[in-house]
Amino acid sequence: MSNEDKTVIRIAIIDDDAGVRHSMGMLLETRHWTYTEFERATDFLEHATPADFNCLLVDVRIPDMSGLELFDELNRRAKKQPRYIPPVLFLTGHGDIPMAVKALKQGACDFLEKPVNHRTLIDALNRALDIDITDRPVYYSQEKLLNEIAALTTREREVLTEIVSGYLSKQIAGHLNISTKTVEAHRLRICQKFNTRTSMELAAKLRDISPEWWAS
Amino acid sequence: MAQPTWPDLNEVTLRKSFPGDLQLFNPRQKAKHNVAQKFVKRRWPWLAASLILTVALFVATTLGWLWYVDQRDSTARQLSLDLLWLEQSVTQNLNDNEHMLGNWARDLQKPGAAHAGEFLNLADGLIKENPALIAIDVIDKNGRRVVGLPNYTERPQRLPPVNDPLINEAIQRCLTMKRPVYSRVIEQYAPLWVLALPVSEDTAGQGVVLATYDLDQLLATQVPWWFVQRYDLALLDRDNKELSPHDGDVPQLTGDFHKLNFGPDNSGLSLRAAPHASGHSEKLLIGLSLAVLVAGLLIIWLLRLLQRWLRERLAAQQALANELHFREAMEQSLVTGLLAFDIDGRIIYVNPALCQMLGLEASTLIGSSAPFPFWPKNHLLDCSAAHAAMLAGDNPEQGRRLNLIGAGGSTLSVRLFASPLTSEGSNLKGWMASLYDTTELQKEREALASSREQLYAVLSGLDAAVCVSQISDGKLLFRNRRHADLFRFYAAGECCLICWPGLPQGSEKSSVEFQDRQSGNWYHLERRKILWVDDSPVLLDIATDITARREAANTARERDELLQHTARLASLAEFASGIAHELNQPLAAISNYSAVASTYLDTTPLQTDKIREAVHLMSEESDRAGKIIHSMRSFIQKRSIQHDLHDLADLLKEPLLLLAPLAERLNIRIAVQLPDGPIQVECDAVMIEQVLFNLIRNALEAVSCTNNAELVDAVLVQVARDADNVTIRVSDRGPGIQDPGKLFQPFYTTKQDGMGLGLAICRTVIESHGGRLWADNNPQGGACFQFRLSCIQRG
Repeated sequence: MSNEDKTVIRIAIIDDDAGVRHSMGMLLETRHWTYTEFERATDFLEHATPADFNCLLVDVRIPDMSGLELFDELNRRAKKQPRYIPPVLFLTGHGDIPMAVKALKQGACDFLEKPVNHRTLIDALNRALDIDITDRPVYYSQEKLLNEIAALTTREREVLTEIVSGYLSKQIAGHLNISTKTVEAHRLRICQKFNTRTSMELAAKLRDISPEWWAS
Repeated sequence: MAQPTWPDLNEVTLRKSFPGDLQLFNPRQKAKHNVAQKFVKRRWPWLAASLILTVALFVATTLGWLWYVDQRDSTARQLSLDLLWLEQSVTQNLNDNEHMLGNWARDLQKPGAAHAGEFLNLADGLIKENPALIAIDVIDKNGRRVVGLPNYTERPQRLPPVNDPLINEAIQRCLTMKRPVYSRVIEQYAPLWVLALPVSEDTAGQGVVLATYDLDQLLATQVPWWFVQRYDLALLDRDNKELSPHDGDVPQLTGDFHKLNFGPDNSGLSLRAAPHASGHSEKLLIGLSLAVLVAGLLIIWLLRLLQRWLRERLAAQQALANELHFREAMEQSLVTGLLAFDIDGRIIYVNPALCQMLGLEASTLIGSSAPFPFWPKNHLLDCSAAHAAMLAGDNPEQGRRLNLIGAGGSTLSVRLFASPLTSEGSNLKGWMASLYDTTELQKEREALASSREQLYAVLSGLDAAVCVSQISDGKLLFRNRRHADLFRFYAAGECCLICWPGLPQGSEKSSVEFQDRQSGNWYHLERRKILWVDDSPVLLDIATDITARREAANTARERDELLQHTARLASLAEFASGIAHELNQPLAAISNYSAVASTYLDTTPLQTDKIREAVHLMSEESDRAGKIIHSMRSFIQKRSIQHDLHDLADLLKEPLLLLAPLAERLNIRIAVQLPDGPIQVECDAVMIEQVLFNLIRNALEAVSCTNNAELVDAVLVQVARDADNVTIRVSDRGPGIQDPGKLFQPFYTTKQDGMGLGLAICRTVIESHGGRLWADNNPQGGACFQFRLSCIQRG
C-alpha cells in the first residue's frame, strides 16, 4: 500500500460501535483521507501493520482488549523489534480522565472525549498527521541503517558494537581476542560500507540506533 | 488485794523498743547515779580512814582482851606460887622456932638452975630475932608459970592468962601426945597463937613451954615488902574468919584469890592472897567489851554503807559502760560526719563516719588546723571563708554547702551545720560541726533535673497536646508547648477541654474525637484520671491532631463506600454507567454525521447522495439512542418484579449505614423519626434502599453547601403512615429547589459531576412500585422529597 502513493493519508479507526466507525469514516472522507475500520483491537493487531497507517484513531472502551491495552501491546512489540508506530488518538466516553492521563504519559498523541466535536477531531487528526510526517523519515533512515548493519558479517557487527561503545583498536583487539591489524581492517571495511571516513562519523550516524537491535 | 498498777502504755512501748537501755533515758535514775557517784567519790578517803580506824580499834580491843586474860592467868599462877612460897617460908620459920624451943625445953629438964638462966637468955635472943614471938613461958606441972620472958610481975594484958582454957587444952594435948602442939587462935587484942612444947618427953606430968605468937606480927614480919605490894594477904581461921589484919578496911574479894592452909595440920588456919585492884580490871573489862561492841557495830554499819556504795558504784559503772556503748554504737551508726573544733579552730574530735567520708585517719585530722587536708585546692577560698564564718559564730540554720575532697580523691558535696560547743559554765569552748554527704543527693537532684528536662523536652517535642487539669474546677495544672500552641483560652487557667460538649466526664479512661471549632481541626482526645503530684485526682488529656489522618481515612472510607455502593447496587450503577456509554455512541455518530452533512452541503456540486446518507444515518442513530433509554426503563421495570415484604425500619438501615461516614465527614446529623410498630411494605428492597440512599445523599450534599450543618433538622427523615399508605419524607435545610419543573427530568442536574439521572430513576422506581415521588420546598427552608407507598395493614 505504502509504495503506491506517498501522499495518500491512511487512518485506522478502531471502535466497536459500527455507527461511530461509519460516521467517523464519512467524516474522514470529507477530508479526502482514506480509512480502514477495525471492530476489535485484536483484529488490528492480527491483520494490519501499524506503519501502513499515518494515524490510529482508537476508542478506549472496546470489548476484549481495550484501546489502552492495544497501545501497550504496540509499544511492547516495538521495543522487541524496531517498528514504526504512527501517532495514536484516543477517544473515550464519560469520565475516563485518569486513563487518558496514563495514555498520554505513555506517548499517545492526544485524547478526545466523546461525543467529540468534529472540528476538534479534525484538528487533532491534523496535528497527528504532522507528527507522522516528521517522525516517519527518521524511522525509515534508521531502518535503512539497520538493514545495512544486518548486511555486515558477524565479526564486523561485533567490531561495530565495540566501535560505537567508544573503544580503541587495541582494546577491541583485546576484547575480541584478535590482532589490532585485523580490527583496523574491519574498521576500514565497515566505514566503507556506511559511506563514512572516520569512526567518529560512523558513531554519529548510528547515534539513534540502540546496539541491542543488532546485537541479537 | 492490792490492785496492780498498770504501767503507762508509752512506757511499755518504750521499754519494748529499748529493753536494755531504758535506764539511760530515765533522767531521774541517771541523776541518782550521779549523786551516788559523787558521794562515793567525795567521801571515800574519810570512809576508808574510819574503816581502818574501826578495824584497828577492834583489833586493839581484842588484843587487849587477850592480853588481859593472859595477864590474869599469869597473875593467878604467880599468886599461887608466891603464896606457896610465903607459907613455906613462914612454916619454915615456925618450925625452926619450934625445934629450937623444943631443944631448949628438953634442957630445962636437966637438973640445975643454970639451965633456967641459959634458957631465958636463949629465949630472949629468940624473941629479939622474932618480933612475932611475944612471950615464952615455962609452965610446971601444976600449971604455974615458973619462969618466962618477958619478965613481969603482973601478967601483961596483951598476953593471955596461962590458965586460958584454950592454952590448957593445948597443954593437955601436948602432954598427952608428948609433942609440940599449937593451940587454937586466942582472940586477945590480936590473934594469938600459943605453942605448947613438952619439957620432957618421957615423964608425964612435967611442965611445958609455951611460946606465944602474935599472928599479926608474924605476918607483918614474915611477909616480904613486894608481896604486900602485890597482893592483899589475909589470915583466915577455921571458919574463914579473917584474923589478921582484923582492922582496917577489908577489900571485897570478887576477883581471883588463892587460899592455902597454913601452920600445922590441925591449926585450921589458912592464908589467902588476892592481887590488888581487882575491881579496876573489872571496869576495864566492861569498857573493853563495850568498845568491842561499838566497834563491831560501827564496822557492820560501815560495811553495809560500803556495800551500798559499792553496789551503787557498780550500777553507775554499768550505766556508764552502757552509755558508752550506746554512744559508741550511735557514733558508729551515724552516717553524718561529726567534728568538733576548739576555740582556735583546731579539730579536737572526729567520728568514724567523717573519717570514712574523707578517707583520712582520725589521728591525722585531730589537732590539725586550717588549711585542712580535705579542702580542695580550687575551693580553698570558699572553705576558709566558711571556716572563718563558723568561728565567728555565723552559722545559718540551713547550713552551708561545701565541696571537699572525699575518700579516694573524689569531690564530696557536703552540707555543714555548726553549733557552739559550750562547757557547763556556758563558756564557749569551740564549735561542733556535722557534715551531711550530699553528693548522692546532688547527683540524684541533678539526675532528677536532667530527667525533668528530658521529660520536658519529650513533652515539648510531642506532636500531641498534653494537659493536666483539676477535676473539681478545671484549673489547668500543666500543659505542654503543643497544647499552648494549639489551644487558646478565654479565661486564664481555664481548660477549655473540660467545657467542650460531648467529652466523657468522670470515667477512668476514655477517648473521643472532636473538632476544634476555632481551627476546624479534628483531635483525638484521650482522657484519663491520674493522681497528680499532690495525690489529688486530676484529668490527663492527650489530644492528637488527627485532621490529616481523618481526611485520609475519610477519603479511604469514601472510596470504600463507593466500592461498596457500587457493589451493593451493582446492577443499577453499572446500568447507569452503561447507559452513559451507550448513549455516547449514537450521539457521537449523530455529531459526526451532522458534520459530514454540513461539509457536503458546502461543497459544489452538491453531493446529495452523501448528504442523504448522512441524514438517514443520523435518524437511525437517534432511534438507537431512544432505544437505549427505553431499554433502561424496561430494565428497571423488569427488576421490580421481585417484591417481598420488608419492614421500613430495616429498609432505612442500609442507606443510613452507608451514608454515616459521609454525614460524619460533613458533620451533619441525620435525624430519623419513625412511628412505633413495624411498617410492612411490599417492595424490591434494593430499589427502595437505592431511592432512600439517593434522597438522603442529595439532602446531605444540599446541606453541605450551606452553613446549616448544625441544625437539628438539617437532614430529617420522617415516616408517617395512615390507613393504607406510608409516606417517607426526606427534608433538608439546604438551598432548596430552584427549578421544580425540571427536577425529575433525566440528565437535569445541579451538581458539577452529576449525571442527572438519580431522581429520574428514583421516580421510575417508586412509580414502578405503584407509589408516587414528589418534591417541594421545606417550609423551614430547604427542600423536601416525599414518596408514598402502599403498606400492609397491621393485624
